[in-house]
Amino acid sequence: MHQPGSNTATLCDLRPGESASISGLERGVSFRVRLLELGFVPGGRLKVIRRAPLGCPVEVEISGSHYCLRREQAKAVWVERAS
Amino acid sequence: MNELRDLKAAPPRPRHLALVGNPNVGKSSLFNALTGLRQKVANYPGVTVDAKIGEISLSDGRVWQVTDLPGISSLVARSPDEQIAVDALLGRIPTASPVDQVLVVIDAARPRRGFFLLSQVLELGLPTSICLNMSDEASVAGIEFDPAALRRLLGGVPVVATSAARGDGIDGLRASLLDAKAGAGICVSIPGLQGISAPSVARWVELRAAVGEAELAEQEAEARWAWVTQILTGCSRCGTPARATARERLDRYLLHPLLGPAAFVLVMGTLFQAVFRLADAPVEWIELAVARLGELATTVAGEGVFGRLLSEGIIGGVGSVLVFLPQILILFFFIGLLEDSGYMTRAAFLVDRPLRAIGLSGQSFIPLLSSFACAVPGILATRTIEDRRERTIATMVAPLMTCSARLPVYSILISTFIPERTVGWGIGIRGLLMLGLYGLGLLLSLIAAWVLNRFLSRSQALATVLELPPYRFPTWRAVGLQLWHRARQFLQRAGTVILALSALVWAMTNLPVLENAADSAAGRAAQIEQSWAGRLGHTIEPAIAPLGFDWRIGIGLCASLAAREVFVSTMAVVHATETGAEEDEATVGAAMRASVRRGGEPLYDLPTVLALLAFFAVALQCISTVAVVVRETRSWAQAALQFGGLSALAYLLAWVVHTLAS
Repeated sequence: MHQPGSNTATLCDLRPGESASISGLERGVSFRVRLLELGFVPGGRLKVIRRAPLGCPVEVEISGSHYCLRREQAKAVWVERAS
Repeated sequence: MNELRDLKAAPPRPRHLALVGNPNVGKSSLFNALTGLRQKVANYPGVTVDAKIGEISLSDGRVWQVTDLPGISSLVARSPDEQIAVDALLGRIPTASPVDQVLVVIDAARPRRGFFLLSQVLELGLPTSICLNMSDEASVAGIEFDPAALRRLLGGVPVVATSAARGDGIDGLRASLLDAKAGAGICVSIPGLQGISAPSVARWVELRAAVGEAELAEQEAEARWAWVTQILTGCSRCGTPARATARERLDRYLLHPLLGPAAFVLVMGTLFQAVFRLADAPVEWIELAVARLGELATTVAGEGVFGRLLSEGIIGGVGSVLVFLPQILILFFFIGLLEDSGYMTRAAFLVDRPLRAIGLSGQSFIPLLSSFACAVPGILATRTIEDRRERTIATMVAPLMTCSARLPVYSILISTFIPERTVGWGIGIRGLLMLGLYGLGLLLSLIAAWVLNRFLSRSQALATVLELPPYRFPTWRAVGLQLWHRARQFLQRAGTVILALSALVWAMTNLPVLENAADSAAGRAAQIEQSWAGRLGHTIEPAIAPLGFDWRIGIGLCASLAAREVFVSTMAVVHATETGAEEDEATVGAAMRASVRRGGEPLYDLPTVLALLAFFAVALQCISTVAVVVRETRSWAQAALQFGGLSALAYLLAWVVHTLAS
């Protein structure tokens, strides 16, 4: 399924302003269902808007909605940087 | 005979329509626009449903029941709030009438999430209609919908574009309700469930049972999102936004690493300043009105036992509670503005990381802020917290926030016994003490949360994902309705619990009636000392003597176990009975200042006053809070632990303060 490539990272690695497409979600995390409902499914596109003053949470835009993801949550979203 | 039976037969149950949608899609404004003022907050026995219920008249003259369910992102529930909505839809709440029809509200400017929920709702097989709300915002964002095409794609489900905040499209929506239709959903296939494909509630329940009640398989989610994309391509067009959104312009400053926190402090500071400044005038009007009413009652009912019960006990007691209605309403007015404008979630975004150090998160911010007005709505607001552990911590520490019921106690003690002096730069010692008490409550709640965070077993939670909604102008109607609900709730409490308690306290302090007690000061003192309350006060005196409290304060403490504010009215009764209110027209403060201990020294010396303030800052003297904790946590043990813990802490702190100050 998902092949790690040179552009592969987690959402946590993205800088504010960077866009990426989602390649998958880590298995076995409790917030997986919530992320799936919000549209964090493979192929979906997202953009990191900003980080809160202490670096966490991260504001992410996905299909027009803005969500705040904590570090642990952002680390569970694998992304492919838009080249 | 037949006619009689017809008359006795129960009237047919009105059709029950449920409003379903994601959070922040304008569902409540739509509900307000549909029902007008014919609504109330529902409270089904047994389950803590906080859905709003209203009535709606349709063009054919029929009246339906409408329920505004809490906002959800899917029919797979994660938080208690969502569980309520899902249970209501699936007919699992025995005390509520089953849902006959659904209106799915979708934010037309951000439609994808709404269509994801729609894909699930359609599988319930209930008659459905769709409302594309916020259509004005959608056109600004460059999104265009073809409602007719959408209707075709969904197999005939009626679709109406509205803008509830501006009142556009409401009549069309009302009309469309009459031809609601069970639509064609996607009916995701799950191995083992093939063969049952017609959408129905029973099928949905089976589907969930097959994958796990709170589970969502990755393929199911992908199938649903693919469906959403397919439908949206068939019925909408995305252009380019007409102009930069308010979000971009405002968030640049309000969520800025440095300016953001500064703005946060400024907003919160302004909020509390406003609460105190603006409440002064209405508080005076209420005090005046209560005094007039008391005089009137004395004139009408005379000065017998009944007349005094009416004027001193009931009107005086309820009046002393009514005076802080303005403060509660002003605080909730500002909270309503901040919530409806979208700033509140920005505040939650900013404080999320700091709060996590003590086991809370940004989601706890609104419940804790509301607790500054009153812990009851604060604890009710913890329902939106998904993490059970965080919810427990927030519920436990919420009563430590300085609620408005503490204010009358603080202000009478401070204004009577703390001298009006400045400590330099025009800062008054009274204001400083008041601020200190707020700080004390906040500090203790942070410490308590930290301690609970250390000792509660860790759940593997983190399901919380906060959404930052777009900025919107709050509508006066929505904020006004919210205030109206709050005021009514408060007045109901004042008219029932507080009224009964005031009468009880008066009776306890004035009965049994002694002969000729009213004729002399000594007689009046004997009267209060020999009353039931006096005897109770004497009984507990040994326990509270280390704090500098005597039996009279003991009466106040017992009475205020039910509600803190009752302390003021109780002391008014206790000291008025002692000194004879008719003779010197003493205010409560003067009467308190005049009261002495057995040795002749003043009862309220500085250590005692400070100990009393510390006690009130911590103790959980509020029967409504205890009741709501029991109801929300469904655990007597947790409520007992909270009550016991806070009482012990209050006693300890008061003792320390009294010892240090002596």
